[in-house]
Amino acid sequence: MTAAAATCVDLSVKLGSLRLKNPVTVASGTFGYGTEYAHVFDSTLLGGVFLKALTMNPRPGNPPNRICETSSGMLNSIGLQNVGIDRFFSEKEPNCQRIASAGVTIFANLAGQTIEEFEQLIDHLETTTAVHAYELNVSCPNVNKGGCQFGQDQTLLRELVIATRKLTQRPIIVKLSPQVTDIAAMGVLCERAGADALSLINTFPAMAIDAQSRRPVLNTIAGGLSGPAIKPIALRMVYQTAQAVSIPIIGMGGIMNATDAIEFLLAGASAISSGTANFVNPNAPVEILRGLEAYCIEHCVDRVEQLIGGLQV
Amino acid sequence: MPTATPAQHTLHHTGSIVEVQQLAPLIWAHRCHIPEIAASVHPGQFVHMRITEGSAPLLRRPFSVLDANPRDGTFRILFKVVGVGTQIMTGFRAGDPVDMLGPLGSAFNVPRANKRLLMIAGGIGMVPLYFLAKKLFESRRGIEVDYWFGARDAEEIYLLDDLRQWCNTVVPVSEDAGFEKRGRVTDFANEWGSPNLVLTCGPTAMLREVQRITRDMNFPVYGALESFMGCGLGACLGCVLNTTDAGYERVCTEGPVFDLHRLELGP
Repeated sequence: MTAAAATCVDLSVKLGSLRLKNPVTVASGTFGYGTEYAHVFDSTLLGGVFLKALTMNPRPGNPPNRICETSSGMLNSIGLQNVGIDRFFSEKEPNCQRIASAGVTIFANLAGQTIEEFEQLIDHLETTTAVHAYELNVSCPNVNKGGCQFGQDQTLLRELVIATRKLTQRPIIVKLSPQVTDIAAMGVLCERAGADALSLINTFPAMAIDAQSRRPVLNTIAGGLSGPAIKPIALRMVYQTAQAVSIPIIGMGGIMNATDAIEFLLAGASAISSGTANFVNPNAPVEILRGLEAYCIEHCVDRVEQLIGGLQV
Repeated sequence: MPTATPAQHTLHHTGSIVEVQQLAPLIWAHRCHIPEIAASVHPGQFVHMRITEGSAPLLRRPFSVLDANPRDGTFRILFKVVGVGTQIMTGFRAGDPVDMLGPLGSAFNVPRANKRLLMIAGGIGMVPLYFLAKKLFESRRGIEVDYWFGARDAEEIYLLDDLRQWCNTVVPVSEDAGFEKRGRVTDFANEWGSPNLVLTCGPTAMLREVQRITRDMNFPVYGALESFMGCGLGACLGCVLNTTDAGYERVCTEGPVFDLHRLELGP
């Protein structure tokens, strides 16, 4: 790629009131708080970083085994292990500030067990300029309470979005569970309740069995399936939801390369997240970004936003 | 848009396989050429290797380093064929490209005062201890190493000639009748002597026994552990083990070398 070519494509995308410098972000839980990949690539190249889920108190997470490989995918059952809000501020926030100051949009992923906990998290995070938006994690399959309950109960989800929307000027993004009958309907519900954007999809509840030992591979028996195995389903869900809502969508689910990312943009996503890909190829987000730019040049696309929802049916 | 990855981001490397050795029916050693890793890896550390460009298998696989030669920029990994990933790796040939993250994780640390070491290896758990025995011999620190190498079958005990050059004693133990000592390596704890420090690596069942025995004998012990692993960089929190004093710790970052007495290895 030449320097001259690099200036030709406008990679920035609008996400509600935010403008991301490019549509490539990393999914929550796959990138820590932005420091872990420091020796692999420069995270200031990213359009956005979705931070590891936060709860008010530290959470130890689930007992091992927590992950395993499946056909073209992986299961995880981390259980929202995180340092809690106080240690986030003392240990993690300075690095988020550093990345944010380089023009990367920082999304805090909030994993409250109650509406009150979501509200407390936002109250705390409003005090830092290192966070630009909130992603409500209502779809983690790996915790007993909270999490999925919100994502699957329309009344609770509506209450949560309305309650959090009142507390902040920053965008509220809802991360939807694929474990519903009609994900587009959940998206419409969130939009009507005041959500500024949607992330989809989270992982699918799934399991693996070790036939030799006749035991489940994961300690929690079931975990969340991610990776290329779920990409076609994620793509369909993004497409259907984009048809039904007018708020922007951050698309994710098995995106491994630039071609995958372009497919999600065409299906209607305004931005994309790589997740499992970051484990396979830690340079994947940067390669996606460069591939996206090359595609735009090749197809005479001046602004990457022209691709969004550009599927020709 | 910035077009180059800054030079200080040095854990992700590409290189090539330069030699493929089959040491036993299911045991292979691949010599890889990646000078940055060869120059900086310490015993106990690992590389996280991509097996295919495709998605079967999808995730990288961690491999402990067997030895390294900074002068020619090569190092070896040793593995046992246990699944689809390692089966594919038996098809690798000299000249094939490799994509590795490394060196990753913590290394064995042998304080100056320790002059008498006991190494307890089980199966391919011999790998980091082989590297350590070699490095200690080359350091000429006058450290005596007793190396106990246990495996189910005698054919899974290899590289003994190398170990004999570097160690005070090398004791192979197998559950078949291949060697003088028959059984499990932990059956012979009464012959382990009085080491200053015990270093171990092997299957969890063996580590559990080593943990119990060294606790009873009041020996300090460090072990290199393994786990299913995701990113290898500390982000995904997939590879944790439980500790007695600090909750879950990551095998890829706080480990793989742990004070064995801090670990909850289960019943």
